[in-house]
Amino acid sequence: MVDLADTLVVDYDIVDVLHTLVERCADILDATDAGILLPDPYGDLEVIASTSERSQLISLLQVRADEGPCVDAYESGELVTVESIAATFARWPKFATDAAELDYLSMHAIPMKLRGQTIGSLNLFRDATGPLHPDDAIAARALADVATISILQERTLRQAQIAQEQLQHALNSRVVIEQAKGVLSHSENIDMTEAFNRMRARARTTGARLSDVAEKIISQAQNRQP
Amino acid sequence: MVTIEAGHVDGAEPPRSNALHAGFLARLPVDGASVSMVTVAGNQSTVSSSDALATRLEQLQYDLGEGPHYRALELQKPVLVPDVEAADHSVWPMFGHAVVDTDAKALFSFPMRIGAATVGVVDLYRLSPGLLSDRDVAQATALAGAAAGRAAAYAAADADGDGRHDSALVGGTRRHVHQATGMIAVQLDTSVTDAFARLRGYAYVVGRSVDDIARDVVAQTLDFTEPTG
Repeated sequence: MVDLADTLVVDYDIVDVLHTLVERCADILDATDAGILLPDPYGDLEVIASTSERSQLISLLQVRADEGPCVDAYESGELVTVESIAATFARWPKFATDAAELDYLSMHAIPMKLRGQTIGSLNLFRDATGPLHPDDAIAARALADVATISILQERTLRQAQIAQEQLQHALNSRVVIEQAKGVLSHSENIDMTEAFNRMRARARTTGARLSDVAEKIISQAQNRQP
Repeated sequence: MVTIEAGHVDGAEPPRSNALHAGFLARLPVDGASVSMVTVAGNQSTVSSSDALATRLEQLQYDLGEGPHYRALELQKPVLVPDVEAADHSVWPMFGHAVVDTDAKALFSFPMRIGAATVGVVDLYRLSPGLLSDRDVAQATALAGAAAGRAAAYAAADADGDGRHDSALVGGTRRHVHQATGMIAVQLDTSVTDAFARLRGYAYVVGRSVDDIARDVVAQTLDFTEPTG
């Protein structure tokens, strides 16, 4: 858990974090494989991290089939525990068939939740039948929470970085545009509105950005002097 | 599909600026706050201010180009002045001289960071002297980090827009100051950097704010071509 906690406070690669997390999950919870599903921008669940290609395969299959415990946990927001996959053939025929081919006998799907919203699911696959021990259920819940926090932090940081880039551009452009309005208004003896309109007209006819036109006006004013 | 709200990026309505300082007032033992964003190029936009004194403190530091606000940016660390009257003002002598005439008795400035970049400062004041506890400092630092994305998005939207959010209480992008800077650059045949330095210096000499002087320049009641003083 320490290496997981460490990754939360510095810049990190979210996929790498989640891969570490599913590997820990499999170790701690005695699962053959573990995987995390998150919705893509279109709302379709996709595998973001898994311990092996084997669980990746089944997850992808069940998502394509739109059935199975992983989808149920995500959609219901409730823990879905399958003590015997073989016994679910009637309910989820495609899932049960694919799982049996891969030698999974039981599985448990833990919804990843934040304040009542489900953002994904953590899925444990085992090669033995049986229930999820209550202690394991608590540990699984805690690991699902770590995954949730990691994902939210990464999203928040990414959005904040986009906002920061927008700030750099918008504020620097604004300052240059206002300075250029001042230059034009004084040198051409026109008001600020007219100065802005002339700059905008120049930008449109030359296809240049307004801030580039503004930069040019300022540097030309400076270069006029000897 | 579940969308987790992590801040305004584009499309949606930008957050209301007064929400940006509210969290600091609610969770910390302070009496006022202002939030300013900065770019790497040093351009600044004040997006939120709780009251006239918070605005005055921000303006004083902007006019003088020094104070805890700038120190926090420079050090990229919190700057704590628990007792304004007893403090050593040697790193901001002009501001130190001016601030003792205000009602602010303690000042605390926290950098706002996104990843490794400092994108703004939260300036807090208190009407009575006193230290912030370690817990308060940690809380303020966390709040400053949590508000950084939203504040940056707000400032970006404000700079992109028509400037109607600039008001007497919140300095905003100070459009009139940049317009005046451009005009003075022509009047003095100099760079905009030098023109702004002249504007700031003149404001200091005559004992008025840069905002006031800039408005006079834009209104053409003050011209730097003439000898001033």
